[in-house]
Amino acid sequence: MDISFRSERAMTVFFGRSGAGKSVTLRSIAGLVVPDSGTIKVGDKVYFDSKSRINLTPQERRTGYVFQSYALFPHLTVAENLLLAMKTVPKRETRYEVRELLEEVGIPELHDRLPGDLSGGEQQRVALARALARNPQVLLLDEPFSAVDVPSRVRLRTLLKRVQRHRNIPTILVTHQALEAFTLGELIVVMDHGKVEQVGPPEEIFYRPKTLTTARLVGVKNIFPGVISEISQDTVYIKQNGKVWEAASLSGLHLSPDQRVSWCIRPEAVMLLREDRPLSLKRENRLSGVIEEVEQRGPVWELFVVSKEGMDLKIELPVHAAQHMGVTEGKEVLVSLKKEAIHIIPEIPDSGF
Amino acid sequence: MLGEVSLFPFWLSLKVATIATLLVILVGLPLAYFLARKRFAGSEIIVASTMLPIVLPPTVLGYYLLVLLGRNTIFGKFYEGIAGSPLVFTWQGAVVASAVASSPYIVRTAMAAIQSVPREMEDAARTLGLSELQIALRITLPLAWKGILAGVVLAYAKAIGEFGATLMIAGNIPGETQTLPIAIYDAVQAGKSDLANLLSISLAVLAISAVLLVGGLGKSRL
Repeated sequence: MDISFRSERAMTVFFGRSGAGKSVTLRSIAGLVVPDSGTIKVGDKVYFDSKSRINLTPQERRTGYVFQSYALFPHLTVAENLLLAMKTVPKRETRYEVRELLEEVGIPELHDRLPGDLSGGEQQRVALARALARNPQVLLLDEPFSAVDVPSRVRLRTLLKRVQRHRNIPTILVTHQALEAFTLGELIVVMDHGKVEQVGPPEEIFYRPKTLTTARLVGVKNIFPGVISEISQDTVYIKQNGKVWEAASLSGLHLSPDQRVSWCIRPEAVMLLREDRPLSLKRENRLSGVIEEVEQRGPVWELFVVSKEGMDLKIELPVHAAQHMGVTEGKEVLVSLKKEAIHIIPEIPDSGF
Repeated sequence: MLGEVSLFPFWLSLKVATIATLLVILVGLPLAYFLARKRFAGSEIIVASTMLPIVLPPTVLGYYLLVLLGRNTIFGKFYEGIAGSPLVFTWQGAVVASAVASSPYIVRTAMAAIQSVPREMEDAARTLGLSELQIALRITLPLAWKGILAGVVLAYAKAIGEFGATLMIAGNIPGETQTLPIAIYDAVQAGKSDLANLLSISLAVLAISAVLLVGGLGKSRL
């Protein structure tokens, strides 16, 4: 594994598939695994440095760790679970501190209960309170919401954001869910196969992925090969199968004519054109095709369109739009790929994923 | 008929088994904790060798203990120098035989019980700032105590019934080293079948109660 990142944001998210190395990285920050080499710093405090042979024990590191399984001590009450972490607090203040913490996470009434009698969401809150009990320098959360149902997941996210802002404590959260990474992260570290793929704010990761791996991880489903044919002031022209596509030129990418690239567009950015509208309206990157498949996914419908040129396109439409346009399988449609939504990745697509 | 039954073997067996079990807890439990949590070169050999007292025939075990602890050996001389009396052919020798013979029951069950405590519990305790000793005493052992106690009961049952190794190292001296199982053997040899019956039944009752106790522990919630 080879991981390197630096975050000055309050909420950093490790994002990637399972086995990407997210949890191991989190564990090494807490001191639960020892890296072969490198440096780990939290604030000004050096936790680990292989060169100067610094390796603080987990006990010396003051991290607040929330485990995926919560790892609450089943033989101790909620209050006792918290008390264990409060060695530095004077005895007479601990009772008060425990109450404060439980208030903060919204479960003061669970003080004397055993973890086994609590719901997943309640256990999650206890785990968070316990992680905060030591007044940690950094909060580490390993897939904290994976074991709770969706409604409590939303409430817990809100709680986490509030606690995190209120305490102003740097936080690292591990997740394999793109949506969670997008909504919670201020900085996202995309990991794959033990390496960092990309580091950046959510908008950049989701709309301007730098590698094909990142693009696929964040749900960019339409990825095509192409060759740069021309670069103008504000437009990049990409040739593919005799057709030329226009993409908005993006600074920061060093492209040159004849370069082989990948270009992609998010499924929700593909526009379905209405037949009753005059065709004279300027629409870039038009293509026509047939709806092969419609998948209704609650608020969003996913269409699978095959164009006349044989391109496979995935399109996501809000229900009302899909119904309004009478989307059905077998229907011929006209599609526009907005120039601004087309993103170029200077990498040649491979077949496997 | 029975005549006068000496109660000495009962008390001796209870005393020997109790001391032997305490001894094994004292030494075996830390060993089990260590073996359950640490991997090092040769650790598998040590783990395997904790089974030796079960695998070896009791007489062979007793013979080797005799070889190891006899009056002319280093250990034997060392013990005699401290205690003032030899270890072999005394009731203290019976304690050693029982302890060694019953040690696998505590070490192995405790190891399994400790390994069944999720590592994440201990990791969580580490991030909360608990020292390794605190983790053992407040987290791991309380979570594993049921399995450990089952091992203790089994070890006690084994210790109280230990025969082969005890006979080899402590001998059969009535009123001195004659434990209950050896007294039974003695009674049978002497043709006192009534006495043998009585002693056997009492030993069987002791052993069966131990098994029932273990079963009850398994069902109880905490």
